[in-house]
Amino acid sequence: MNEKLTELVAEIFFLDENEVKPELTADDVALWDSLNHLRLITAIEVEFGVKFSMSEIQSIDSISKLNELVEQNA
Amino acid sequence: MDIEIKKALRSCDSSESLLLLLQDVVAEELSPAEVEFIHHVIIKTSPEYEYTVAYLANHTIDSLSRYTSVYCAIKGQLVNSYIGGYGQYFQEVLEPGSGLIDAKPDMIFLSLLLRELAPKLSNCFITLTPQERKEEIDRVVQQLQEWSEIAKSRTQASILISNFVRPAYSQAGVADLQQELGEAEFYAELNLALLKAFRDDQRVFIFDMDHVLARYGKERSFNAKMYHLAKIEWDEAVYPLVSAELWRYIFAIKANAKKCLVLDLDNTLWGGIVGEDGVHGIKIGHGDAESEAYLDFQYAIRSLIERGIILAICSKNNMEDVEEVFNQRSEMVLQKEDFAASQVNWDYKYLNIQKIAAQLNIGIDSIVFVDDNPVECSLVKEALPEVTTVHLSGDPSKFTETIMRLYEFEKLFFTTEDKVKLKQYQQNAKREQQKQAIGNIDDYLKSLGTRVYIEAASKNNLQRLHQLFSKTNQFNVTTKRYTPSDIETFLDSDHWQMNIVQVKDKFGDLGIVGLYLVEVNDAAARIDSFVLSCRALGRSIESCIMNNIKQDFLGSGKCATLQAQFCKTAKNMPASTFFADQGFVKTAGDENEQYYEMSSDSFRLLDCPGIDVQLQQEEQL
Repeated sequence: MNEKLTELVAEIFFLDENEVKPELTADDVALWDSLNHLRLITAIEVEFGVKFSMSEIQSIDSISKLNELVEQNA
Repeated sequence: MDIEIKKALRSCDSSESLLLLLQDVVAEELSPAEVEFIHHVIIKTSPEYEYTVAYLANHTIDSLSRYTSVYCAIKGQLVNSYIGGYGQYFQEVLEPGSGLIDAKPDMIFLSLLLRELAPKLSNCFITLTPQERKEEIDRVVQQLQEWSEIAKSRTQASILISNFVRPAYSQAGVADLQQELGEAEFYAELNLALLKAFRDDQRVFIFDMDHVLARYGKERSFNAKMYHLAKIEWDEAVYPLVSAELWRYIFAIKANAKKCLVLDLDNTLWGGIVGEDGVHGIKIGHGDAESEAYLDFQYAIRSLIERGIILAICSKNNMEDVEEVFNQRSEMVLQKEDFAASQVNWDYKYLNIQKIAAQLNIGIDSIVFVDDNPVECSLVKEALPEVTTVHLSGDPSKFTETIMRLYEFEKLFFTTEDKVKLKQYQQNAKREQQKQAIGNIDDYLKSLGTRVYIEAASKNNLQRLHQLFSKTNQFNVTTKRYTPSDIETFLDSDHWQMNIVQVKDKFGDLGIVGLYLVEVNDAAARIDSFVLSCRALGRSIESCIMNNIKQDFLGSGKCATLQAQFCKTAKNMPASTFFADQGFVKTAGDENEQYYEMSSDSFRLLDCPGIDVQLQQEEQL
């Protein structure tokens, strides 16, 4: 898993970095609501200098999927 | 953000230690994730907030509240947020027991997008007739006026209304400017109408969003993707700017503006070192780029005088050299008379800054110090952390922006007192000279020919009243910081009496220098606030005002007792023995808070040498 991504996920969802695992989904994380979802996307876009499309953003439902997209776009 | 700070923040559990840690964080360098992280930490420490901002909008504004809370916390102010229901700005102020009413906001920020408020304007502007466009302006402004009247009557909050942002591109393209009430003209007219509708309002302020977004760039400000996904209008990069601007208002409403700008000279006000380059070798004026940059900087500083900021010089130099510059370099925008105090010598600057504060009778914490030398800056920072130290680095073309960006001088209003402040400090210097010449204090006071005018406060004085309540630190017995809306409530009430005090003497008009607020309950009158500006201290004016209070409430037989209270702060030492000195009897209290009383059968007046009291303005007689 991308280290920077782990850090961002931890910061946005206020988790410890060792709690961030690829298999985490929106259902597992208390703070993963629709607004925080977009906050995470924005943080990743700013940090990695990438832009996701609207459909990509809507397709993300787990950390592994997120990791995949970051690697594709980076 | 520093990794060590991040670690410390994660384990931080009190708001005190949080604010301390945040002092070392640079707001402008935070990434979106870091802002989010700090916001979590603030919530986790569950602080006791002193300030609440309510956000009302017809778009998703949650992120702004987070950025603003984080930004304000970095500046040392914990701000609680309430976010109103999406688009429910009328319901939130109308319904008793709404979330907004319960949140008791100190400030309401209303941000409405035209695309929601008047959809046809953004969807098909080009098809509307000029008459239809005009009607939309009237309708929008009227709606905001109605809303603000309700918001004012249902809350105590100061109200900020965002103006409207002209889109980056016009539907009619470049031909827009030829059209009658095209988009360019429409947005100018709409925002102008809004400005005029609230210009005389003391509680409603226009938030110039169009201007703030223009600083960043309108094309980049709007994020269409996030708008369609979640009605999030602004790009992430916009939030820090809007937060910084909101902080200016929060700061201005708290009225903690710095009073004095202390300036270095060499390589700050002019280029070069006068002691080495000579009076004609330094760079100021026209002809070369650097000289013009320093000239520009001097114009910027002169504009601060108009805002009521006093200037002082603190420079390691020979006085003769400095005098020569002022006398011989006619290009200088700032004149010697523009400075209320100057310390030109080779002592440590922090000592000189202390001297300047003493001379002007202001607190060290109301000073901003500006110097190009990083060593001087860090020495002052170390010795006097209360001073805001600004390091001007390198290129003088950046100096003007550095000064204009400071929030530390922000005030809500300029009063007539602000405009003549420098003159008043100069007159004070003359009074001081005479005091030293005469020697005997009573003779000196008589020689001043002081006239004190006491009259009932009115709404015409609202700005100055607010300023006195919020800015006076030293001679302030309870230091209650009333807001403009509190003050209006007092003025409208029969139970409260608020009077203002104006002072004149042979050197000039000191303006409205004091006020007192008394709560009257049948047999007892209670002095809630007694505030006197430091400019008027040391002349028995406080006794003279108190004599008037005693006469008014006890002497007249209106009340049997006069009650008073003193609440100790870090700064109001000068007023600590005031009530005892005036003959009040202490009835209760501890070190931090004391209660006093005086009864109608034992009151006496104090002698105030050389003061002539008049109970109404002479102009009105």
